[in-house]
Amino acid sequence: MLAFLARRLLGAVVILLIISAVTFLLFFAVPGNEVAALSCGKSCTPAIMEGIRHDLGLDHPVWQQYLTYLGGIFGGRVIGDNACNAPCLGYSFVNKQPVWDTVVSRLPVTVSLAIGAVVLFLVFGVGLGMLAALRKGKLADKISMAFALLGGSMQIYVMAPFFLYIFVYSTDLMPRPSYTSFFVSPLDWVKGLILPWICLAIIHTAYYARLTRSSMVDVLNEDFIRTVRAKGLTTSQVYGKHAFRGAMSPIATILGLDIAVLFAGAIITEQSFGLVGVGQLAVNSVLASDLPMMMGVVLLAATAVVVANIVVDVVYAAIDPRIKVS
Amino acid sequence: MSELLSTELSTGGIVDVAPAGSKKPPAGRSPGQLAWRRFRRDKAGIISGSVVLFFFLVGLGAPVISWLYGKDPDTHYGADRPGLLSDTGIPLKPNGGIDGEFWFGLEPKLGRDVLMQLVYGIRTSLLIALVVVAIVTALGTVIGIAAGYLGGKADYFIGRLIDVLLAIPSTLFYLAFMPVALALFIAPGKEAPVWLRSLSLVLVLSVFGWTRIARLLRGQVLSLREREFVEAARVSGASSRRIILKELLPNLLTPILVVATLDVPAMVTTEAALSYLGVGMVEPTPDWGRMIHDGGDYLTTDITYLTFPGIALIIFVVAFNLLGDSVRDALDPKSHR
Amino acid sequence: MKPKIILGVSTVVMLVVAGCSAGGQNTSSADAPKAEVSNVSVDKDGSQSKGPAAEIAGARKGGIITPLWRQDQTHYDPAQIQTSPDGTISELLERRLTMYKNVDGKTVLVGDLATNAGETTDGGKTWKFTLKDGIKYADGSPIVAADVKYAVARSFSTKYSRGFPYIQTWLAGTEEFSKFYPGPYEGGELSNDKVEAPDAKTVIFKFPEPRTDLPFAAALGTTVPVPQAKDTKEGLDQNPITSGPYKIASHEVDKSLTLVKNDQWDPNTDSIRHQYVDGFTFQFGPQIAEVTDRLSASAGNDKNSTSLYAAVAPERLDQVMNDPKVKPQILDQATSASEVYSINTQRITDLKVRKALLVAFPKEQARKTKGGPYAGDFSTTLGSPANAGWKKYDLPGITDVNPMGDPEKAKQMLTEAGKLGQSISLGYNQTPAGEKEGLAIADGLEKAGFKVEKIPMQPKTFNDSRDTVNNNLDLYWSSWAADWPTGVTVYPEIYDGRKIGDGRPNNSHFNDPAVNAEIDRILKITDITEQGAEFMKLDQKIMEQVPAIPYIYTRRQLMTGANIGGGSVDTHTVMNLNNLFIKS
Repeated sequence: MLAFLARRLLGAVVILLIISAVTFLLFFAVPGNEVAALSCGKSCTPAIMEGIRHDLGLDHPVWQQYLTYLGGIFGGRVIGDNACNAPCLGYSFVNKQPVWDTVVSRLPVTVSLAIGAVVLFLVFGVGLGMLAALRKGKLADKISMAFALLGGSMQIYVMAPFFLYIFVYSTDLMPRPSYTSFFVSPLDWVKGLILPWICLAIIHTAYYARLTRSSMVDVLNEDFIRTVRAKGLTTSQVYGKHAFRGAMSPIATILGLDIAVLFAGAIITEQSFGLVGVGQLAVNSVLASDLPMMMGVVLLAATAVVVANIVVDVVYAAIDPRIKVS
Repeated sequence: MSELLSTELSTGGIVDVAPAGSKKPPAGRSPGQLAWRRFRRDKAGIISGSVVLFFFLVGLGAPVISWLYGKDPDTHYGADRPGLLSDTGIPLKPNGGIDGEFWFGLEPKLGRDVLMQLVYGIRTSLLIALVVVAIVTALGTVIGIAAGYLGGKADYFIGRLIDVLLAIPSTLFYLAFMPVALALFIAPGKEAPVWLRSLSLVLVLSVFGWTRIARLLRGQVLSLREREFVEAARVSGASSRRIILKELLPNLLTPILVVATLDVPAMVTTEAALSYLGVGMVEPTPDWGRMIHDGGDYLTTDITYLTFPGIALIIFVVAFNLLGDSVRDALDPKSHR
Repeated sequence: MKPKIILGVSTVVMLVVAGCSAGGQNTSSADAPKAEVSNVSVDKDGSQSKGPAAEIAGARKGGIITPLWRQDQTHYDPAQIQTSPDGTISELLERRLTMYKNVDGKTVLVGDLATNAGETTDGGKTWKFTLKDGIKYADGSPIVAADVKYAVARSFSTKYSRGFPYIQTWLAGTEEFSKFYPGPYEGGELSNDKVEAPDAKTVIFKFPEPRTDLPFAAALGTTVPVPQAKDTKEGLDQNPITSGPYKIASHEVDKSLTLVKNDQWDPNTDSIRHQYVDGFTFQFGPQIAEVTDRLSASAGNDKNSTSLYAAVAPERLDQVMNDPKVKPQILDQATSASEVYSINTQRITDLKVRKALLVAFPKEQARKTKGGPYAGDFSTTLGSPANAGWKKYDLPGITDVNPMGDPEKAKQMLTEAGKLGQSISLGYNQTPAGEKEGLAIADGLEKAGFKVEKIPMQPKTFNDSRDTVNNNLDLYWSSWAADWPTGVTVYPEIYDGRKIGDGRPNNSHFNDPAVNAEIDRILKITDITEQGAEFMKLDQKIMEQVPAIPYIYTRRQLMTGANIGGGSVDTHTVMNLNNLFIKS
């Protein structure tokens, strides 16, 4: 087990290093003068530009810049006149603040979005899938799967304006989506995010509903269910205790891997609803050519995905000893 | 959009047995023909297939539609002709300016024809998606088979490459690398020709899009490799190339086709999403996703501008997903429904 | 079965939704603000400078207002501020020698820290300001004349000279004022030959040339007093030394700024500002569409919010201006800005081609993408009516062009000049709005026989890229609002051919020695009215060469929340924070 963990961690580190190197190289495919010019601002003179180039270390060879960047992540570094504490992902060209600080300040919004959506689509997705599996072939099954198909085909950026129009602008049923910290007011936290949660849930429910259904159907056909039934357990015990557990393991796997999908979705969700999270930060930094911010967001997102994958692998291996851990 | 890929392969063909008492000799049918028969009997499949075909005809036949309809997507009808748009650029007639001349209404501010914008927007998004799907299917197939068949070091490195690519959330990847791809090709300060922009978009989408099919095929090849008919071919002296082309590939056609079918709507929506965010196709190329983005600004004043492209996209995706399901069922009836 | 249901449902939805939208409406020109011909007066005798400020009808005390704006201030140090709305927030926090007061729709330049708008006895070479009694900083210490002198001296230093350079340039007699005197950190005290503070209440400016506009320049951040002992240098850009009715309580970069009452501010010394609300909480981040939507809905706390500088989004204008519930929250104001499309005269050297551009330019279509008449009236002069002495003139063939563009006539002009198919590199701002405007213009020009290449420019670096000498462009948007309402900060900045350079506002690269000489001559005129009239004649003379296509006299719609009273627009076309109160 420990060997497995060590190997995975090493693999993860290698992956992250590769990603950081590729990101670094590609972003600096933009000529260096452009980089300095982007950071310069209104009254730019060649002297100020030279100063910026020097501060950012752009006059060093690329490999050296990369190493400085990596070093900064672990130990902090000094850029120009400012000290940048570990983990230092550079200074944003736009707001002149450390990238790390800005990303961290936006994180709660994205995380809140993910949490609410996950809860909703797990509950409804699994519920719908179970219903469909138990009533296989009947009307309930057909309707559930039809809903799953329709929901799964929705696009957030199409749904969002319609939902906003129907629930917010023309009827005032719900407040405009906004973020209030859970710790400040849980009620406002829910009220402000419920609309984006519902939209995200509708789209992802489809996938989990279908997955649960097929997984449940598989499990229900297995021999051990017949045995358990023959032993005299009630229907609910059969379904609840035994079938359910068997059906859940693929779902757990998928959920872990879905972190990447959720984050990708966050970008569009935040843009569609006007929420200020990491996704919106990513979009704005691309549109503003804020290179340090772009790199920071990509690196952090990749790290989150890699860590999530490791956690899922470990948990899966711990639960199910049948799985080969190499 | 993630996908369910739990198909088992079906084997060989089935002989159709004539009912007792009839005079016709039993006719053999190839797997392809059988699949087609199954598909034909699936009503949902036929309807969704027709819808999809309709979209393709609309997109590819856009110039014909333009000729028949008498309008084009670039003329600023509303801006040039007084009386169509209000002072602030909103169509004067209700419902976004729908009338006998502009069947889907007018675009706010510039006054272009919405029907033409939509038709050409569909064309743009479809063309890009098709090219990307062709590339990633080919690429993914080659890489997946190589990884599965060669095994060892090749498999290991390809696996790690896929891990690296999948570690970055896809939308973020596209978002971040589009400007880089553009900067590589275009000198700053110059106007990017449309073909160059679409080339960059195709490139970025392709770099990322082959991983799913590669992984799937790798798994399939790994399990197929140990089967008897491959053993038999190897023992009888067939070269690797022959084995791959003649033995493996025919059995891989099903998953390849299924994934390719489901990749098309995924690519269309990805391209639309990127244009929605602002890093896909830009003005003046009509684009499905960008139209939806712009439409969101006119929710209360000109909602048809959003409705037409939005609903069209949903119908397209639903139809394609249904089609994908039907294709899978037709090719491989053992999969669950 | 399934697809039929789905198709059916979606068709119904589509029809229902489609049936729900009414058409657009044309604007009524009845209540459009006229581009204000300049009506700024100067309070020479100090009668308008005495506090307290006149009460606003219906005002009551209490509550917190939340101004919304898409980004944080670029600077908090008043000496480094140049842009709107940074200046407005700074004017609320920090008092300076003079400032503008809005009374009954008229604007008066009054003494803020000074008792009047400045006194001169020698035609503008020497200016004397007397500080009021009882003025203090937020920490309770008194404001003295030496602090004003130190602040001016500090603005000479290259590190802090990113703000307006007028006073320094005039004192030094050269634009390279840092060479003349490097500032107090390296050059000791600023000589008494330039600025003198003989006692705690008197500040004297001594200029080599007469500067009749000094009272206006004294309203800029350069004269905000800084006590030398409390000069924290870079620190002032986060924590400036304030003296206004509010002070900074907290600041989260890019997110929020919280202001609370400053109890050391004495209303009897201030004829401009009020202290009605308990504080302000600025929210940075919302884009203009969001600001418009939130203020229109005015739900929850948004009814106590206001736009700071965000105009009503053009896409919402139709909805918002025709909604009787929302209309009262809108302040529709002409600004002092004049927008043109500058022609790069170094690349388009043939006057006939420039005239053809002028004739072909589709102003109406381009303006429609910005909000139509709400964006402003079409302009026919280079300078704005807000500048002193503005008068409309007629230049046949130039000022009487068709706002929709006349492609046939322009094509004819081009053919006669032998330049049919002339290539034009049109630089546009790569935002959704900028793209549409660029398309509209390109469309009109191409109909007239030009070959247009649309060059997208990054919004963040638009001004910088445009203002380089070798910008590789032929036609681009440019806007100028005088820093104060005379032509002194307009023509000598934008059309003086000796001031062509990277980062400088003469982006049409116009250079006519006769015009340059005229600028010098007019600058020497000391009577503002006469100077204004002469500048107008100069405007016409420059216009004959068509270095730019006059586009719009900018008009702006600002919004308050439903519960805000006292809303007005200040001289920078930003929401005037001095008179705001919460209605209930």
